[in-house]
Amino acid sequence: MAFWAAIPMIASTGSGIAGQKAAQDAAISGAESSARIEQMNREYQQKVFDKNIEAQKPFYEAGKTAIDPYARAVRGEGNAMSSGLAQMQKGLLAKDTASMSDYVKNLTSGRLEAEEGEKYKGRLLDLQQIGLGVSGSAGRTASNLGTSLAQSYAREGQTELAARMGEQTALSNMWTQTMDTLSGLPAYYEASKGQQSSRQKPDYGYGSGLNQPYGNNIA
Amino acid sequence: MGRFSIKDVLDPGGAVIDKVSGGNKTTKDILNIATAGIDPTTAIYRGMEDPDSVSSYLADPMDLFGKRADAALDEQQRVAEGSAAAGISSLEQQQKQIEELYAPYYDQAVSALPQLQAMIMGGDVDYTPSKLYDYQKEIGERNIRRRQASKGQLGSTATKTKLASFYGDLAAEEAERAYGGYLSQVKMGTGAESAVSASGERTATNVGSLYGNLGQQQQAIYGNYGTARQSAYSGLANTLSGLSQYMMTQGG
Repeated sequence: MAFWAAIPMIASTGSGIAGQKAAQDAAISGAESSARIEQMNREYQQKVFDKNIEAQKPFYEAGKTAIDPYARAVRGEGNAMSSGLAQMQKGLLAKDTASMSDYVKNLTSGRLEAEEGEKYKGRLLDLQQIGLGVSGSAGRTASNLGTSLAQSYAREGQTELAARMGEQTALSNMWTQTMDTLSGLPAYYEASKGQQSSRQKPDYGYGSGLNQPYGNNIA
Repeated sequence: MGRFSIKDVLDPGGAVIDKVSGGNKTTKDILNIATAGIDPTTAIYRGMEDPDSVSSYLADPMDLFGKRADAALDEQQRVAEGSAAAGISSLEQQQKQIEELYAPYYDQAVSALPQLQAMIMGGDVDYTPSKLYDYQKEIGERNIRRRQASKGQLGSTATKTKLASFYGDLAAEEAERAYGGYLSQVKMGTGAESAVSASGERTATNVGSLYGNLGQQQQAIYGNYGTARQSAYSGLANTLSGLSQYMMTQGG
């Protein structure tokens, strides 16, 4: 009888171990599920960032085109009369002064060049500031994205780490429980045989030294 | 969750059982039966008849519990994900409305940008003299001519110089008006872009919080599921332990 009595005893240990394994599997599944959600979160954050940058790009690109011309204009190397506004005014004045003498025409164009030379720099600055403004916005967006991604990775790492650390503990517990049970078997058999030969009456309590290693100590 | 076997996990080669049994076939059978799976009731009764056939009766005793727990887990996940999805959808809807409000300003700015660039950097400027320009020119020319006529200098170079200077002022004003108009349009567009961008970031942050909460909820849901399963197994373990004690006290 001792032979079969050992089966539920060992199975009891097995059940306790299975419980630990089930809890651990669930913790890992929870961490994996959480990781998938964090991945979705990061993809969403990246999508918003990309969309914002895409919207900022036309202004940024336009501003960038003014950087070199402005630097040249500051050094007095630029050609202010190539601007669209200078050409526009030149066209208007050409019609208005068509019937006038070269002297007057030269006077007019000389004034236009002098004034446009200064205005040109200011307008190039305007265009750069448009680019710079959206660059600031892009920087803020990038900073927010970086923060969001870092937080998301941190949450994911923390969750997975906790689950993996729990796994290590659970494995260790499972080993310990199994080894305790297995190593206690010989003594159990011997004790059980003794009990069988003496025909002791059943003892449902836990006072018997025979029962103690396998009592309700599993959970 | 499938059937759990201690042996598969901890002693797949059977080395531990071999060692512990010390070559005793009976002990080895017990250990093999007990560790091959955990449907002890079936294992015990069938094993009594034919120990070698025990493994075919072993199954996960948590099947019934597992199915119900799995269903509860699915339902909890559905609720959590549904709640998060509704929140995200609501936030996206608000963001879409904001984008639609600002879209005309943004679109106008983007379409005005090439003109502004052409005005500054060079290129074709799509320009037609304004009505104000035509009006000011007409009034200005008349006033200058009248003044010069009153001085008897109508056809003089001085009159032409005054007129040319006036035309220069007028052209410069016209250019500034055109430039100012396009510049304002573009600036309104960048303002609209900034507002939409900031709103998008707030939406993303809020959506991120929803995702973060959902992740924690999933973790908690699985944690509860695991705790419940462990508790069920523990209950079974205690029952089996009691059974073991009972069988032993029967003494044979």
